[in-house]
Amino acid sequence: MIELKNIYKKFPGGSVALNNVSFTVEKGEFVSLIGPSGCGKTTCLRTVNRMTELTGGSILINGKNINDLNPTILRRSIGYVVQQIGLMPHMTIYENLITVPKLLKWPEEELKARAHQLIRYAELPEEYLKYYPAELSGGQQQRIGVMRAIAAKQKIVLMDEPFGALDPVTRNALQNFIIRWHNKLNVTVIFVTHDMDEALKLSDKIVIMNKGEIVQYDTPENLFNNPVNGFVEEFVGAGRHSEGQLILNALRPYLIPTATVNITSTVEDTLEIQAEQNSKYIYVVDDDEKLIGYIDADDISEAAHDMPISDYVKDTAYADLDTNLKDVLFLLKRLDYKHIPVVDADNKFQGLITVSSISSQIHEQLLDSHTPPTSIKDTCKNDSLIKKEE
Amino acid sequence: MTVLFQYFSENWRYILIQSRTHFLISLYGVLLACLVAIPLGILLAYKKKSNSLSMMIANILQTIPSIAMLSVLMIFFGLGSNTVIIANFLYSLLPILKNTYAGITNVDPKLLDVAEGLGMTRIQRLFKVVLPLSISIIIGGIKNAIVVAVGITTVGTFVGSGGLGDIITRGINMVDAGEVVWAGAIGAAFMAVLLDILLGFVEKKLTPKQKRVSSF
Repeated sequence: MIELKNIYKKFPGGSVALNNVSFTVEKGEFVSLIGPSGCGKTTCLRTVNRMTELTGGSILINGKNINDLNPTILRRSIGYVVQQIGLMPHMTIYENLITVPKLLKWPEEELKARAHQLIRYAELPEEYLKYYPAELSGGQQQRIGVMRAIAAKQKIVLMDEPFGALDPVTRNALQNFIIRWHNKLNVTVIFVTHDMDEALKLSDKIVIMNKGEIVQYDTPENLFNNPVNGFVEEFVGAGRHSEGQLILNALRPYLIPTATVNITSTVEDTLEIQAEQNSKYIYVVDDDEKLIGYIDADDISEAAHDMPISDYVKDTAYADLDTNLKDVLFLLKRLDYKHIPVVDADNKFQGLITVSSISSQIHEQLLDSHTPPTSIKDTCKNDSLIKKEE
Repeated sequence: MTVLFQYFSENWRYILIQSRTHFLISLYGVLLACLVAIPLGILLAYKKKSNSLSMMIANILQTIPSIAMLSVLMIFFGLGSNTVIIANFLYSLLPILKNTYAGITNVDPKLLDVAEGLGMTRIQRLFKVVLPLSISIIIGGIKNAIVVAVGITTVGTFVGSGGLGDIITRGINMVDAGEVVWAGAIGAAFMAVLLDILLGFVEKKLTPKQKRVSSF
């Protein structure tokens, strides 16, 4: 349990970053700090591992005042994850992962065993232990960053906008990763973000801050239903109020069911399906319906008909069912993807999502909540329109 | 050319001894400078003082012509190799100090923040993060210093230090003995180039690896 009791932070320049902030995080809870930039959320996070020293108030971890502990010892017992470049570039993934256990002088065999366990938790292949951070993608690096934070079995992890620098699709995948990870390991997390969708998705409770003070500390539901003031209402509803009842966090309603082709199929089968679908791209799955990639019809049009297609399969971008709709729209509209395949948690192909499938579904959703005016015939002066209705 | 070869084959033992003296005089000066300039550079980098008094003094020292410096030092320390070692020490301060400062201030402060957040002490941060990431730049400074020092040592013959400069002055004083001058000059140049290559190799070796070596 982490208790922040009336903490103050005044910087030497005189600016007040934290003004009488108090809240309690129970064991195993996931709490997000959110607010506009400069609201003190990062400062607040950093006071917990004494990276920023308080000028007033106290912080207790499991009843012990952190000011009574040696800051170095304290920090080794609390995981710390920062924005993207948190890994040491000159150390391998192995060395990065075991940084804290090594500081704590764990024996060599335990370090090795722990590193192998952590790379599995990170859902990455074991040979990555030998790699250097620069050889991994941003998302993979941050998985390692998260694993490093619990390498010494820390029960508390502080995260400072860990996914801020990642693209929407990777960010979404990492958020899901964090949810799985948090459910499994039961660590207490304090998480700083500026993205309300992210906070809502991950948190048990959310601290909304403004100008160094807590505006409201509550569960996501209560923030929605009982905002204490206009600031919270606006913050929680930011970007949301114009969307009415739209479903944003599930892609299922927007999917178009699409035929796929098995990886063991021949070119002839594929061309047949392609003709039926009237689409240039055909998605390829394995025997378990898991998405492998896609086939470009142009690539196989010249190929012998009894050839297997496996040589022509290309990697594809894809989205999870719980990817935020806005992220998908970003890819479709801004990055000009024609369509995006969607998979479920087991990587099974669910269907395609396109700009038109989204817009027609949005129309449906908006009309669902709409009661047609009974007076439409009275107010409508155009006869032809009425006739059309009949 | 043949005379030169003849001189080499007849006097190789003498040339070798002078080369050894030459090398050691250069090396001692640079090593002494390392002992002072590296810790000082670390200190200045931590305090973020790039134009401090010590940096200014090192800058001024660098501008003094070597023969003037040697003469002045001779007044205090007398003739002999110690005077040249001290001159080498003074000339080496700036390149080592400058590179140490640059190497350390180049380390991303965010990495230091993470290292602190993970629970590394000040000393651990220095040895596990700061120095590994800046050591190649520091070695680059040492490399520059030793190349300069080999040159200064050559001039050091005027204060009676010995070394390859001795061979050159001997050649100058003899009549029609160009090959002797050549022998000393080539020796000094060869030493400078060799040390440059050698330390360049060390520098490269110590550059923090950020990729696995793909083939070897």
